[in-house]
Amino acid sequence: MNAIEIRNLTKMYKGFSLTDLSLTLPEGCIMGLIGENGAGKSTTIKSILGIVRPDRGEIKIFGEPANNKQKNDIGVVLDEVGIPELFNIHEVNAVMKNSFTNWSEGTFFDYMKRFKLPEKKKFKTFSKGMKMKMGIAVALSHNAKLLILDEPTSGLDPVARDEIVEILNEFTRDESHSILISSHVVSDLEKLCDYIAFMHNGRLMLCEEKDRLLEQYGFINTTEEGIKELDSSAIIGKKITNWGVEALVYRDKIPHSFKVQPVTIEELFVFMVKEEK
Amino acid sequence: MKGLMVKELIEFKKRWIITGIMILVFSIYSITVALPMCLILPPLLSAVVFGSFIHEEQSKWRLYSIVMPYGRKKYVSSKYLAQILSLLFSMVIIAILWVISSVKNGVFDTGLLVILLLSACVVGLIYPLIIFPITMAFSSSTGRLFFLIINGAIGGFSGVAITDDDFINAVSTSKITSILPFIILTVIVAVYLLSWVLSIKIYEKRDL
Repeated sequence: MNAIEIRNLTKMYKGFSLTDLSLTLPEGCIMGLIGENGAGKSTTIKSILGIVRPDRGEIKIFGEPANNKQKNDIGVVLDEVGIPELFNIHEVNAVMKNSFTNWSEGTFFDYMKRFKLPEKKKFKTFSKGMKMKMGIAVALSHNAKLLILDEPTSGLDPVARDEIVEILNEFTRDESHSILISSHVVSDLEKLCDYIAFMHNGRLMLCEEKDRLLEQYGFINTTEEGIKELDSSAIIGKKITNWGVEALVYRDKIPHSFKVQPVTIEELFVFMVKEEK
Repeated sequence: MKGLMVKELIEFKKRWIITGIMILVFSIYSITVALPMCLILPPLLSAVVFGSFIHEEQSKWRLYSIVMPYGRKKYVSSKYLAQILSLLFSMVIIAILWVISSVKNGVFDTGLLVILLLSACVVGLIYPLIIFPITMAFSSSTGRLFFLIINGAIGGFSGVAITDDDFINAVSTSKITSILPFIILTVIVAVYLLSWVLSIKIYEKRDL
């Protein structure tokens, strides 16, 4: 079964539109949505969650059209955690245990201890990292099968980011658990994801298994003459520098005489976006 | 919806000190100077519920509550229910103030109590029934603007009506005087329910 299935999702705004987005997140997998600011990542996530109303398209969660009952099984962390500012952790617990049918107080307070979140302080006094940890604790304390995270690591220091990535890794040890996560901090997603989806200008540029992407693509550094020797279908994009030509290529179409270097997801994304422009 | 109501009650508790002081001041004034002054309590408590909208927009709770297993209909309904609870609470206070005032003056005018409670319903419901759909369609700041406009309109109308002898005479000699408050209450309750449905429809269509 697929955790999320999106078909031809379209949402139009003045000056921006998300166009015909289709993607599938298989159950038990982690998909990273990568894109620059304004690429359409948040609109996609908000459409899945019913925060915005799509103009067209179909969204299915666990094989059924998205509905409110499913939200018991979905843990959500948005870029700003929307907990009332004056609430302390006990008050948050009181609200959540009356909201989610599967709420586990024990799990929630275990996370509070692990994250060292103060018991009596108001949420508004928390740092950005503490707020995000609180959001993640809420999302993980009601036995969710699917986590949807919109920029959970943005604005956090590297240590806090690493902690969050570690927690998400723990969540996915259960093979029925899935995650859809958006970020423009590509290195975080590279550590975590099975699938990578590139978004640019409201369109899905590419959606592929991460390992296949890394196997499929590579970089070569050569000269302008060297590049002419290659079949044009092997080259995805090239950049002329003072030292020669840097090209993003399909590994299997490059002769063995060329040294193909591995590519990172971040390099691949930046290259593709620049080529598109 | 239980979680949303628990959230409303905690929010109310958080603002209890300021609200409590205001209730105390107006209660003392009502008992010592003029009992009808207690009719300020329903809109005052209504404003506390409305104030939670502003805090929810600031804290992004409005988005967050949508990703919880409620949906928009229940979010809107929790606000209308909270408003009814705050009205019932203010009616209890008004009834207590009437008892204290009656004991103090030695006169138990149950007709006055009925009029006070009916009027409390009217002034307690008129604000949310107008402001809530506006807030659901736009934002709490637009709703707050309308709150001030309604305050001005009601204040202006009351001021003119109370000082206009012709108006007072016309109302007091009218044949429908005895049933007028009930008619007004019926209309207000009907419009409140209509406003409730309208707010749900508006909020369900809106992008957040």
